[in-house]
Amino acid sequence: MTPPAIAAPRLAPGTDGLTTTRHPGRIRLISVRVEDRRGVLQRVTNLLGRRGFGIETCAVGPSAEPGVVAISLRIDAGTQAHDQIVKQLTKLIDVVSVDDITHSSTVEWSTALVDLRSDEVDPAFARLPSGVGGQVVRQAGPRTIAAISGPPGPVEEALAELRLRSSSTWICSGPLAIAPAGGDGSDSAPGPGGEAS
Amino acid sequence: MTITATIDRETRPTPAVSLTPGTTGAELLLAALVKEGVDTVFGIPGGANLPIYQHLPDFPLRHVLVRHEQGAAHMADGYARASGKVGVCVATSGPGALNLITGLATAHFDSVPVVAITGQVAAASIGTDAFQESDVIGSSLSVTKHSYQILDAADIPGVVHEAFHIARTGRPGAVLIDIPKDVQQQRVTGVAGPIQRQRPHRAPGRPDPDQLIQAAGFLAAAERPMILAGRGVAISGGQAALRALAESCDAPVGTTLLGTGIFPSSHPLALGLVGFMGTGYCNRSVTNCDVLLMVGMRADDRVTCRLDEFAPRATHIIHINIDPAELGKTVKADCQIVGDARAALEALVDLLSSQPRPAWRAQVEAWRAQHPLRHPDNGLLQPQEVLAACYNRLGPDDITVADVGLNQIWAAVAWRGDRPGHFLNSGGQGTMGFALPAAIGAQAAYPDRRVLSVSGEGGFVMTVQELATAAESHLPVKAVVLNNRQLGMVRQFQDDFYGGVRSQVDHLLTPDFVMLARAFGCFGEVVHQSSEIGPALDAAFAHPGPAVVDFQIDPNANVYPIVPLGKGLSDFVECPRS
Repeated sequence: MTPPAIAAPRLAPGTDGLTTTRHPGRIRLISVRVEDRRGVLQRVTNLLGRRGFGIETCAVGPSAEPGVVAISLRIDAGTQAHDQIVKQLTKLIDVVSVDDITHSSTVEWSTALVDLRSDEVDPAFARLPSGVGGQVVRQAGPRTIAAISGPPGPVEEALAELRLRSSSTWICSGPLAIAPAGGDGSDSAPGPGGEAS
Repeated sequence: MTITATIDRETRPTPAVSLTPGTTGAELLLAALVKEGVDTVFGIPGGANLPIYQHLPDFPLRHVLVRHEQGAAHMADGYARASGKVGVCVATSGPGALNLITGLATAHFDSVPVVAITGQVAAASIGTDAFQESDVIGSSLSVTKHSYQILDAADIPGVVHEAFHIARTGRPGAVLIDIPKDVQQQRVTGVAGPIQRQRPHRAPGRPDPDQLIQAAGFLAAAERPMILAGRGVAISGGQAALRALAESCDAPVGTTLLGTGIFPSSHPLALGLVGFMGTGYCNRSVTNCDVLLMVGMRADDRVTCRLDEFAPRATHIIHINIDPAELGKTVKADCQIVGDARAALEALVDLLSSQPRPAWRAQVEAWRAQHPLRHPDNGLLQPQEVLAACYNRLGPDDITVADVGLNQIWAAVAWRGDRPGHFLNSGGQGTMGFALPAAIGAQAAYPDRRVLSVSGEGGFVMTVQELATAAESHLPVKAVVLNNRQLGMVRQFQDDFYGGVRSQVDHLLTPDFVMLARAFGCFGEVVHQSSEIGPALDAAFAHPGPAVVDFQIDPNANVYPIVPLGKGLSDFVECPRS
């Protein structure tokens, strides 16, 4: 009897920390502006969780407007009606605006900090996909901290490559996302009462 | 028995909180409540809200001392549902605050404006697992419309004002204000202004005129129009417009549990309750209509039953709700209108001319005759005869509060009132134990009305301790216990849907409710047969204080019709002919 083939260890889809290829049809990119109040992030994340939406990435930081914090969310809508993301978030009192920018001319950008052996830096940079930039942030003897940034998909490709071919550890931000002002906006989500596209 | 004096509002001093260096956060809170028009609060003092209670006697607020914080939340809820005003409940930190959660969920799910005020451990102790600390903000996130934790007493007036505005504006709901004890004691020298927001909370504007024209077109072209209406119509004061629209379209009207009373039950177009335990003729009409208008309701699973068999012959479904998130959430209406139910209904009335539909009406009446409401005639006390006798003793202003379970459906289906706000029940959460405390709250809002609480014995004992509150606070609710010595609805489900295995539904020991009532200083009576119903009720209503009447009903009485789990509305099962 032939012994069963032992498959090479593989990460199950969706468990590798990389997100762009998982359930692409269910992914929504949501831009939320919230009042800068204590606990507001808890309100946003609690609502999404209890409504059955999975948060794949969440990038939070100040916006150009004083008192307003910008949140970029990549959400797995699962089997839920995704227009509920915008409608339910809009009901939160501390939320200033919610836009589903999944299909608009949205620009997304991810940044990763990579800790790798100094002699791995040049080959790693040489293999960076088109559109991804790399720079050395700090070199300390045998280890180097590099930053790579670019569109989320290519950045994740780069990180997958780094995992295979280097001793690196890294941390990656969720994508920041912005829909350019004055863009066509034709497929951005309308406000309350409308159907998200 | 200890009696707390009721407040004579005419003789109490107007609060004079002039802001002095000595003014505390607790005083600012109480003054802010009075400023919002609050006259009654329901609560219990405890370690973390003692500063509030220290100053409470200085303000013209009636405090109803409850026996469990869940009771306080339900009372605030019942007060709000009956009066249309914001109900207020107060609890201390830790378990006191957490005990409110079920009551807040009950109110919030049914869009009832309630403001809860919780004490919290001192600000510096938050996060240290201090004695009686609980994260009530985190715990209440999913059952409130908004919440606040105040860390500077100067913010109290602004927060209270916004909290009341949020609770009652748009789709009403529950709001919680958590105040650490040291903030209650903080002495202020000035107060912050109103809360400034980038997007102030406000109700949606007028419904979209183009969508209303589209909806009117659908209704005008309909051969078999049907209207379903919910509590949103009552909240908006749209019952007259609902009636006018129904008569104009010659469209029959079904109501949700929470919509009981928004359409006159004696009206020829009234089809009563829709849904899982709705009337057969209402469910048949929904299944066969060609245009369905749903207004002021969510269309949850208890209304739709099997979603893909809901209104399957409707070529158009119009859904009007003030909350955009309810549109398209379950039923995918092709005409979704955001806005106030009354405004939308009035606009539709203006857009439509009267159009009789005799063929459709005749069909509906045929279904009404074909599927009458029936109950067994087996010599045992039936809930329907008890309820009929109860309702016969109520005037148009009086209030009935139903609990949850078989009693709730029996009470709703039997209801013969013609105005909203007089039949209250917990629809969204289905909270057993709701009726008695909510009735006490409604009684506090209207001391001169008859207020009836209708429960099964299972739900009644869940909050029975509030009989003490009712007796002590001179709130003479009359509690009708439809006692089948079982968790009746669960038993019916087990019989019908779970293989007939009766598991843990029999109450082998139920209290002697007469003795229990007397133990709480209330009148008590027990009824075993039909001839005793009238005298027992008359004695209960003649008693000046709260009363409990234990009706020993047929233990096998069921709710019919009922839609089997997983089936569509038209698959309802009727009461076997006896």
